[in-house]
Formats: sequence, C-alpha cells, structure tokens
Amino acid sequence: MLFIAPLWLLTSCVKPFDYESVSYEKLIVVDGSVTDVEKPHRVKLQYTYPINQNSIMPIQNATVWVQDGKGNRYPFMESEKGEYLSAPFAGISGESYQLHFTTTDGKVYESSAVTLKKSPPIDSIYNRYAELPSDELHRNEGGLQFFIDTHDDKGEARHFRYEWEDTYLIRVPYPSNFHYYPENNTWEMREEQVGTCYTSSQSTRIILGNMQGKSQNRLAEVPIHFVSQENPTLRNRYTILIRQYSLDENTYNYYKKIKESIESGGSLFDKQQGSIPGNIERTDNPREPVLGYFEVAGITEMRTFFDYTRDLKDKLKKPVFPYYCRDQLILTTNDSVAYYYNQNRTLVVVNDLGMPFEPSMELAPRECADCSYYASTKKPDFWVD
Amino acid sequence: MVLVSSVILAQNLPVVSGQYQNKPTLDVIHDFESQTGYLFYYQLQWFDSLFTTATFQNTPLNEALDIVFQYTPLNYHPDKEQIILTYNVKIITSPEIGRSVSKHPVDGSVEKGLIFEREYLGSAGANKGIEDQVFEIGNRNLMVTGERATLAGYIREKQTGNPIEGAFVFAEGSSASTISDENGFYSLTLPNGKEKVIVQYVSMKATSRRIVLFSSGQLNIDMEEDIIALMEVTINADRDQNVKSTQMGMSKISAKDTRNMPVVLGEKDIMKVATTMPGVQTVGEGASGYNVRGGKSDQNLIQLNGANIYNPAHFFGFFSIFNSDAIDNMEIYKSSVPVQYDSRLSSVFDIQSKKANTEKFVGVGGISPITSKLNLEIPIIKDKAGLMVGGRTTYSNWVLKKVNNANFRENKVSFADFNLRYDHEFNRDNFLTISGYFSKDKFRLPSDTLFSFSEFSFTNANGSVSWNKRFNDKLNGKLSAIGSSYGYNLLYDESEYNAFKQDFGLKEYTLRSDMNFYPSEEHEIQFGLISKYYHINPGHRYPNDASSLIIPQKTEDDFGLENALYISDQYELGPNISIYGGLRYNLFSRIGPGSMYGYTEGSPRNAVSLTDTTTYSPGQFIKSYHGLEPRLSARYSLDDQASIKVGFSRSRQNIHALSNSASLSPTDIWRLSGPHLLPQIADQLSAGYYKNILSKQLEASVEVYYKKVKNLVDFKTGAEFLLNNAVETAILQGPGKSYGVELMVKKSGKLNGWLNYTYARTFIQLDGNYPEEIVNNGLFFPTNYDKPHALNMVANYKFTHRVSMSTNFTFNSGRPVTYPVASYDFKGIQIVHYSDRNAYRIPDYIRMDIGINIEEAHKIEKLAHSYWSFSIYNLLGRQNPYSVFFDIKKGIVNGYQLIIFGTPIPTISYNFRF
Repeated sequence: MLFIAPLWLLTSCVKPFDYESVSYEKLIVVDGSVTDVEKPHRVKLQYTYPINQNSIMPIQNATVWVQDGKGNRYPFMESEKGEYLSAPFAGISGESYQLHFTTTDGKVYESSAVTLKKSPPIDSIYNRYAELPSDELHRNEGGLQFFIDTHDDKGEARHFRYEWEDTYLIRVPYPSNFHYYPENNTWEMREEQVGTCYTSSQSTRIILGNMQGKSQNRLAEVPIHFVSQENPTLRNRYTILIRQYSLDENTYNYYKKIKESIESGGSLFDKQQGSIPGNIERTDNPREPVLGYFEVAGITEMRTFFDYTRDLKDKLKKPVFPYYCRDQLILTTNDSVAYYYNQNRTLVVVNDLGMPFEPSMELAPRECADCSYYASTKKPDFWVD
Repeated sequence: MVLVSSVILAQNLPVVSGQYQNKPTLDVIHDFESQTGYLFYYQLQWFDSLFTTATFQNTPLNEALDIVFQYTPLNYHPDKEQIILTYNVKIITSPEIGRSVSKHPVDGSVEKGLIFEREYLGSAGANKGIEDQVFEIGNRNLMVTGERATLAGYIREKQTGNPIEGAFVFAEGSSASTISDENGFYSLTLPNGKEKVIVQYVSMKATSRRIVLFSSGQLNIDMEEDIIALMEVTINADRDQNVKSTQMGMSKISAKDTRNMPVVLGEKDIMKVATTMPGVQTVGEGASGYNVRGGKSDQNLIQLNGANIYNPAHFFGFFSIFNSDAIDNMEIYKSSVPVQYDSRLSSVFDIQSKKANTEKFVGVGGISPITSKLNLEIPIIKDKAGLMVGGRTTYSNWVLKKVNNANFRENKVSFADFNLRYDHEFNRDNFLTISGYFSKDKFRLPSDTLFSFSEFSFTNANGSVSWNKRFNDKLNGKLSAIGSSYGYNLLYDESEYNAFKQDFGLKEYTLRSDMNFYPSEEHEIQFGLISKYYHINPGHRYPNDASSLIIPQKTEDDFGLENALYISDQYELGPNISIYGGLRYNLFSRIGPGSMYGYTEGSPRNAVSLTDTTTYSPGQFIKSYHGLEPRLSARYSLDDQASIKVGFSRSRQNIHALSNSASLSPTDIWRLSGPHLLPQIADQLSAGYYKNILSKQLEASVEVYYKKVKNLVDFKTGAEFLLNNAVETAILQGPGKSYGVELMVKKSGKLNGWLNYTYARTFIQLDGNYPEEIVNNGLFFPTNYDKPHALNMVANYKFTHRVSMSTNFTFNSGRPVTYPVASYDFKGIQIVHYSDRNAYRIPDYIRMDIGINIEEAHKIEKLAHSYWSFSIYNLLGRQNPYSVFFDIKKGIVNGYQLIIFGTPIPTISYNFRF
C-alpha cells in the first residue's frame, strides 16, 4: 500500500469481494533447496491445487537428483509423499548445483545451475520503537521493529533472504499447582508446572535485503520483524532467531516478484498479477510454465533475547496479559470447590493453602492459571533465562 | 437614434416589469402585451436578429420601449390601447421633430439605394443566404451622409447563442476593426452608407454582412463553426457542424461547460467532462490517465497552449491539473487527428487557456472544501494587451490535521498550480502570445513505507511563446517556441543508513512553424515544420544522509531528436463532398551519449543473454525511425441534415510511458524509442453517420472504428522499470487491436445535455518463445482498460436565470481483472497463482451525481457576481470497486475490493467574479 491518499482514505474502504474462480490451472510446483548446512536436503514436488481446496497434491515416484558443477550426483529419495530427501551433505560455496527430475510419465525437468554463495555472519540484531499502520486496528500501532546489520568484506554475497523464528515466555498471573479431578471432586499436586510456557512462531512473509547500490558491502537497518505492543509477545522474555540466506541475483529477483505479487494489492496502483516462472524448465517443452524455485544458498543465523523489564523503552507500553484475570482469583473453602466448578467449568485449582476450617482453596479461570493448553510448557533447548 | 418618443406622448401609458437577458425582442413585446393589455402592430420580419437585454421595474411602457428599440430602426406610436410599430418611418405628430431629418444632401449612391430599395434588398429571390441579404442599420431618417456612425452588436455562436469572445470584426476596405469582448459585444465606427462587415474567429467560419448604415444601430452576427477547424461539438453543439465537417471523433468542451456538471469535492474539472464523451474513459475514479478508444494512457497528447503535459493529474488522479477558471476550452480528437499535432496513437486533448480581457479588469475566484483559487485578467494596454494570471492551492494539510486519526495526522498532501498568459496585439496582423504553466504536488505518507520511500513530489512546468502573423488575406502563419518539463522526486528518510533521494525528469524543447494558406474558397492548406529535442533522466538515486550507505546510481539519460513536416488540405470538392487529406513525415532519432546492450539472438532478453555494450558519443545517432503518417477523411452530405464520413489515419509514437500498474502511477517513467524499444504505430479506420433531427434540436451520430496497433508496450510480470539500465529486459511489445461503435445524441435548448452509448473492445497479444514472454498462451486478450459497454448521460436544466440543475449518470462494464487460478505452498508460505490475465471483470460501475448552481441576483451596482454550487457525487451511494485483490489468510484465499467513493459525497462551493 504505497500510495494512500489521505483524501481517499477518508472515504475509501476495503470490503470483502465474493468471487468465483472457475478455472484451475494444474502446474508443477518445485520447492527445493541445497544449502551449505550439513543435513539431508529436501525437494518438494507437488501440483498446484484449486483455490480454497487445500489438498496437497504430491508428485510421487519421481526420479530426483541434484548434480554439482563437477558432475557429482546427489540422489534424492522420496521420504514422504512428494518429499524427496538427500543423504546428508553440505553444499560448498562457489560450487554450482542443478536440480533434475523425471516424472513417472517421462517428462524431464531441470533447473538452471545455481552457484552457492557463502553467507557472511549477521553482525547484529537490534530493535527500535516504531509505529506502523495496522490493517486491523485502522490506526498506527506501536511496537518493536527488529533489524539486522550485516556486511561481506569480499563483496561476494549481495542478495539475501531472511527467515525468523521467535519464541516468547508466557507467565500466567495465578499459576496452578494442583490438578482437579471433577469426577470425584479431588485434587492433587501437579508434577509439572503449568504457569510458565513458551510460544513460537515463524516468518510468513518474504523478507529480502540486498547490497546492490549500497556502499561498503554493508547492509544496515534491514527491517526483519515488527512485534506489536498490542500483542502479549513482548510482555516477558522474548527471543528471535534470524536466518540469513545468501542468494544469487536471479533467485533474489524471483523472490522479489513473489513478494510484490503477495503484497501489492489494495493500492491505487496495483501491480499487474500474473504467472511468475521460476528457474525450472521442462527440457522438451520450455513453454510449459513450472512454478517454484530450486534455491541454492549459504546460511548464517543469529539469535537475540529481549526482556521487557531489562530493555525497557520509554515509548514501549508493557503489553497486557491477553486474558482478563484481574480479581478472577476465587478464595473459597474445600467443600465449595465442586459448586464453583459446576458454575464455571473452566476453573482450575490454583492452590490448596491447607487450612481445613477457613477458606483455603484458590480457584481461577484456566487461562489465568494454566498456559499449557495454549502454549508449550517445555523450555526450548535454545532458551537462556 | 430614437430619442423623441417620450416627448410626443401626452397620454399616460401603463407600466411594465421584467428582466430580459438576450431575449428575442419579439418575446419582450409579447410580454408587454400580456402585462398591459395593449396590442402591438408590426411585421414579423422586422424582429429578425433583434434581442433585448434590460431590466424593468414598473417602468412606463414608453420608457421601456425607448430602451428596447434603442439602436434599432423601429419606431413606435401609441394610439389609444394600441402600439403601432414602424420600420424606419416615424409617425410625426409634433412639428419640432422635423429637425432630425437630414440637413445634408444624401450621397448619390446611397440615396439611390434609398430610393430603389429593391436594389439592395433581396433582389435575387428568397433563397439567398444571410450573407447576401442587406441589413439596414439605424434610422434612415437620421442619416447624415459623410458622417460616421457606430455599428454595435453581439457576435454569437449560431446554434447556442453563446457569445464569442475575441472575434475579429472589420469592414472591408476600411481600416476600422475591433475585437469582441467576453460578452461577444463589438462596436465599430464606420462611414455611413454601404459597407461589408466581416467577422473572423479561430475555429469559426468567417462570415460577412452587407449593411447600409444610416445611423448608429445594432447588428448581431451569428457565426458558424468552421469545417476547417474541424468539428467542434460543443456541449450545446453546433448542429450543422456535426453534419457538415469532415472531422470525425472530435469533441469540444468549453470551460463554461464544467459548470453544468456536478463535481466531486467542489472542483470543476474539464477533464471530468471529457470522460463523459463517448470513447474517453479512465481505469477508475481516482486513476490518472485516460483511455481513448482502447488506447493506453500514454497514447494521449495533452497540450496546454501547445505545450505537452506529461502528468495531467493532481492528487494521483482525483483532479486534473487544469484550473477551470483559467481554461477557455478543450478540443479532443479521437480519430483522424489533424497532422499538425505531435503523433500519439490515441488522441489529442488540446487545451487553450483563457485570454485576458483587454478592456477591463476581471477577477474570478472560488472556495471549495479542498482548494481555493483566484484568477485575474488584467488589461495592460487597452484593447491591445492583457495578462491572465491564475492560481489554485489546497489547504488539505490543514484539513488532515483536523482529522483525529493517527494515520492521517502524519500525512501531508498538497498541490498548487499557476497559469499565466499574456497576449499582445501589435497591429491587425501581428499577435504575440506568451503562456506559462506550473504545477506541483507533494505528499508524505505514513511510515508503512519503511521498505520504500516516504515523500513524493512531482512538477509540471512549461512555457510557450508564439507569434502570429497575417501576411495577407490568404496566408497567415505562426512561429512558436515551446518548452515542457515533467519530473518527480522521491525521498526516503526513515532509516539514516538507507536514506536516499531519487528523481526522474523529462524535458522537451520544440520549435515549430505553422502556416495556413487559403488559395481559394475551396481549399485550406496547412503546412509546417516541427523540430523537437528530448532529454530524459530515467532515474537517479543518491544518498540523502552522511551516514547513508546508498551509492549514487544513475540510469543513463535518453536523448532524442524528432523532426516532422506536414501538409494538409481541406478541399471542398462540391456542395456535397468535402475531403481532408494530410501527410506527416516523422523522423525520430535516438542520439548519444548512451550505451546500448546487445543480446543473444533467439533467447529472451535478460541478464544471461546480454552479450555486449556499444557506447555512443554525444550527438551520435544511435537509431533512427522514420515514416509517413497519412490522414484522410471525407464527408458526403446526403442532404442538408445528414451526412456520412469516413477516415483513415496512421500515427507513430516514439515516447512511451513504462508502467507496471493497472493505471498510470506517479512513479511511471517515460522512455524514448531506441534499438530495443520500437515505435508504436497505429492505423485507424473510422466511419460515421450524422443526422440532425427535430429541426436541429437533436443531433445524432453513429461512429465505428477499427484500430490496429504495432509494438504496443507491455511488460513481463513483476517487471521493474525504476533504475533499470537494461529496461528492455522488462519490456514486451506486441500487436494490439481495438474496435467499437459510438452512439451519441445531443440536445440543446432549455433542457440540454447528451446521451451516449459505446461498445468498444481492445486487445493485446504477447507471444514469445519462453514462459516469461508469453501471456495467456500467446493469444489476444483484453487489456486492463477494456470496458465493453459504456453509457453516459449528462443533463442540465435551467429553471430560471439564476437556478440550474444538472445531473449525470454513468455506466461502465467492470474492467478486466486477473483472478487466481490455483495456489501452492512454497517455503512455508501459501502463494496464489494467477493466470489468464484479465479473464474476469470487476463488477460494473454505476454512478449518478446531481448538482445545483444558484447565482445571486444580478445587480448592476453590485461589486461582485457570485454563485453557489451544491453537488452530491455518487448519489446512489453505490460501492463501485476500483480494484479487486486477493490475500491469503489462514489458508483461505480471500477476495477484497477497494472502493474509493462508496458513499454519497455532498459538497458546497462558492465562486465569485468581480
């Protein structure tokens, strides 16, 4: 949404549009990559599926291999339907790789040869308070914009794609220490804590950066991810892992077109939509469109942690707990637990204070006491407290 | 002069009241009859071409008649409850009146004329034209031979009665001449006796009147549109013209017409009127650029006083850059474009700004919710030179700050434009016109542009100087020097390391000489020479902060030289046949400095197939294209009220806008033809049938056309034109075709307006050898602006002199859109696959607007005239989608529509004149 005339905003609006796309174009889609990380590499072959019928249509039993510039062949074996894995190997920077596959009906496809470019290390991940317009709120929302800096002294890697994975800590206000069995109105101490959980998400947009037209072989302030203060994400401790893929120019341009196709809608100057061919071609019929890309990339990654209390910014509001929990703690006697539970079956037992003749039972709605049902209680391996 | 009537009246006459504005005098008399009960006696033909403008408030009838018959040969004589009118004869009841009889002997020839009246009155029978009739001016009784008398009156358009400003009035064989003022009024002092008065006006057929001037008197002269000036369909069209000119596919809109149409946000806009003409469309409301007869928006030549305008839009396209107060008129040519215009494939929008009044100071201004404007006409030398200056600016920034919304408060949007025109008449044969135009738009948008730029501005600036010279009655010419420039700047400053500025600039300098030669009544020959120099900076990016990492990046400039020679003849073959033949020779050269890339033969142009670079030195010819552009049209009159016309035209275009969005967007760039970007060439064949019906109240026409285009410019999906040094790798060129039929009915009178229906299709074909070069399997497919059905109705009704109401209704087929045909997963992201470009359509566009103009009462003493305009845009509140787009949320492909003006928008504006 590059050009939004305020005047237009005053009166214009975006509304759902009912459409019926009757045609369906069945094409081969390739999602494959070889990287310089030692692991089994994956090539996914499938057909496009009709709009809103999210049925994966794998291409099975194809013969798939990757060949490098020296003529070495890396066969890929079908592990799941339409997913082909190689034996573990690490691509070598400077080497070129080319994907080949033959379908069961004998059609032969190959990608262009793509050279692996080593990715320079990410220099730093940092953040800054920013306000961005929100589609849902119809106003600007504040939050943290995470950026990276990187540089490549040799000037070999110039085009990059980024992915991120973030994880944040959830602390419920009234961690539940007891498990309640409504069948016989009993409760017992939990073996695992359910008051602290971790939720992860990952990038769903195409994030690109390039050094073309920039001096010093440096990339600075590449915006990677914006975390809104309207979400609970930044309430406690937060971590983000950013993965940098070093691409060649053609691969970069392909991603750029895909990105524009996804993101350009809704302005006065929408880009013309159309088929975006990748680097795969059917050798005996180059006119057949093949979607997707065989990506060859060098990877580096970096992780950073953010604490709301420690890294407090003047402007950043402390995000609120997403559920309403204030004054939701119920203090009652042992024999009233069943009564309250029958009133509200989302209640859980928070604590048994162990005083038989006084109100000593603490109850709270589940979302305020037990995060295990919307997040994972398992601390991830990478988590540093 | 009849100055004695009141003296002779002893009886007390009744009083009359009324307000008459250019009312036929006969109607005034009828009105008096009904008010007073008196009966008038007269002969009908005496009232030919007599009009009255006067206001009476309980005025005694004799005083009223004095005013009505002032400057006419009519006298009146009251007799009881009767009024007897006489023509050039006074009924003398009082002897002292005798002194008004001529004291001098009347000149022989004139006296002869006086005696043998038949000699000059209609001796050749009834069917003689008006130019052969002899008009008696003034009162025969007041004639003083050898003296001079003043002839005055109004020059008007024959059909509409609209005054013609700037008509040149002179007497044959005399040095007396004048120019009509904005009301069409002229006055000329001539020797008494026989005279031939000639009136000329650009785009009007010169006309003459034979007169015998007895004493000062009135003569109104109506002019007809000129066939040679090629068909001007004014809103209250000249109906004869429709049938009689050879020109097809042409419309003329005057600035006044903008008042007769409801407006959006209070801005009168001549370009909005244009889009209600058949075959003229936009992609949607708020889209800049016009699509004429299936042409792309860069295929229109938009000129202001002869200087090209490259971006005619303010506020992206909500308003045109033409301030209607500073504009006089606009002519639109959709086919058989006259050869003197620069070649563009689709159309010419020829806009003329207002010429200053050289007699008195005139100011016009207006206030609307968005803009305020002021236009002044300043006489510099009385009757010789005048200056028109006009300006308009927004106060939208102020409005935006009032909007209590974070999104708007950070925005800044503003525009302004300035018009200037100076006219100087050195003598009858030499005129000088200097004109200038400047417009600027600037906006800053919210920071979702973190990934892009945040401030954008663009500027149109142009100027022209032209010298008109009349060598003799048969030859006149014009020499002009014209400069045009357009450019934009973008600025990004959200991140200091990535801060940059980027600009685009286009400059064009033209020298041209245009000659008109009238060897005989039957021919009008025009010829000329045009030389044009282009310099385009397609893009330059540079750092905007000391710590910015941006390296200055420059796309090489385009230089071009375009020369053209043209000649045309408008030939009246006979009473029924008229032919227009024109030939234009166009030579375009792309010149150095510059570097051109070479590509491997037989592979798609891209970075891989790039083989070599050839560098050219400054001024070196890189590539030339030349060709003839023939234009031919002919008219055959079936009878007085009907004609058929056919035409053929070819045009070649060497400057192209590169755009990868559906409508023109502000960051589009213009590039010149070169080794890889071929000239676009269009051939158009058109035919039409024209008929006036109901005694010319209705003017109807049907036109059909077929257009074939070579090398239509399109682009690969996802193409990037900005800062692309090898722009040819993003471009596709292919053949296009358009055809259509346009039906039009116009009505004049108290209820006036027009109704038109267009069926039109336009297609393009993009076929290559590789998927990136093939769109829709290489078959013809509809373009983005293909809207098969279009219906426009504009109606205007004048209730009284002060109140008029207008409405307009528009229906368009929805424009084509590309729907997703499949989706797929890639790198964990669900992606929509689009194909079959433009296979579907967004919903039809329907809109109705109404407007009311109320003028404040006219009072002579009042300092300023003013009027209020109320309008409601989109009265039906229909939510017409501008565009449709798709988005995947939670695995579902959702369709969305963008609606620009989805609710009725009421506006009030105030305009004044002093």
